[in-house]
Amino acid sequence: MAITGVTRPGHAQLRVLDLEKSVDFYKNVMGLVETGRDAKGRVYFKTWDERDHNSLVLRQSDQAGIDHFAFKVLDRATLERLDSDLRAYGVATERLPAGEMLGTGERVRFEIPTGHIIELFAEKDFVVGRDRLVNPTPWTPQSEHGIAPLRMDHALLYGPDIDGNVKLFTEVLGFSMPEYVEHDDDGSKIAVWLTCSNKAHDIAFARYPEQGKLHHVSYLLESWEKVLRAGDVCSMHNVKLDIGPTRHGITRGTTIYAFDPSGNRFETFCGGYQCYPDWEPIRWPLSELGAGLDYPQRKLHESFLTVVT
Amino acid sequence: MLHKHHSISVLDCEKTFPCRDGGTVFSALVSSKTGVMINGCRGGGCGVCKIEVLSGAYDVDGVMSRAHVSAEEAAAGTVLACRISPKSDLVVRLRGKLRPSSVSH
Repeated sequence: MAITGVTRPGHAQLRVLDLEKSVDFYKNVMGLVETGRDAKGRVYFKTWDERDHNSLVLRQSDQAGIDHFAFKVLDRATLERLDSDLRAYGVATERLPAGEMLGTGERVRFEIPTGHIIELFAEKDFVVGRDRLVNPTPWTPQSEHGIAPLRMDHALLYGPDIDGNVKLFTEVLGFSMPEYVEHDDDGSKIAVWLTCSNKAHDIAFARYPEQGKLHHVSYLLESWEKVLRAGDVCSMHNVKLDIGPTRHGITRGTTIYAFDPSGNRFETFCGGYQCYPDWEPIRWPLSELGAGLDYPQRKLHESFLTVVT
Repeated sequence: MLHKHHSISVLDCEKTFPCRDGGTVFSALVSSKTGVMINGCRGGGCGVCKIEVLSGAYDVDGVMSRAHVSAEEAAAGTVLACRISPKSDLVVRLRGKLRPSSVSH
């Protein structure tokens, strides 16, 4: 399958309550690589295996949560086309100049129906060394430090109008919907998993009364054993787990949920299936959401529905 | 008990829970497994453990999100339970959104 248009999640910018405590957490527990700090005080990170300059940006704030979630599009022409398509659809867009974020080209910013800020960009500096491009070793000292995920993979965001999001992401941005949860009685959508690739999800949304909430940012690991190791790393650093280690029924990924020092949830996961845009979506009635969330225990953990930043 | 404990009286359920000196009020309520407190973010960010301290002394350790506790509230004893540890017995009232109607319709 050709990956065109919106190609993948690019970065998440999170608000943290104590910047240096959070930097220490993302460097030494999550095991990310710090790639820079800007004049606004934001701190930038990538995983050991990512080539783009950053996939996580931390900003000091008095409130936790997510500032924006961004996707990388194929090229500048695609960025211009999608900006024009968004405007034609009735979405107001704004341009942020290249360099406003370190190592990142011009961004197109817009608000989606659930109140989240989404950005698109075409260019981000490659910071990968030659040793990773010629005869690379399968792992490095950095890949063994902390949880050390392969990549920032997706996010789950909470807000009221997820139907509006599905329409925008599928009709304008070229996403498809591999899975969804619907209310048993009226068939209204409770949660949706959307992809711009053949991953089971690049972004997901769940219905929640408040606008613009973050449920989690997710990081991909190589194996179930690495998910268990992530649990060990959390415990070694006294980071309490929220859910897992277990397996989701929805997307079939193996998973751990836990929280960063500001209470922003993160996921470390592995697996899930590959899908194609012509597939009929998988439906989960709300009454089976426990199995969708935690298949072995069939347990609808209370914090899954209520704890967001 | 090996450690010094303080008691946390929760008016909403008329129950009292022991809290280890130096431990958080949140941990004491969650570990009681009574359902009085759900598992939250433990980082001062999500607000589910918001409580009002009606009497007693406590230490604050860490920052609480202004989205959930204003400066005025904090000064008047409304705090996030994951960010305080008791210095004496406490009497508290729950102020968090323990069960929002997000998916129950």
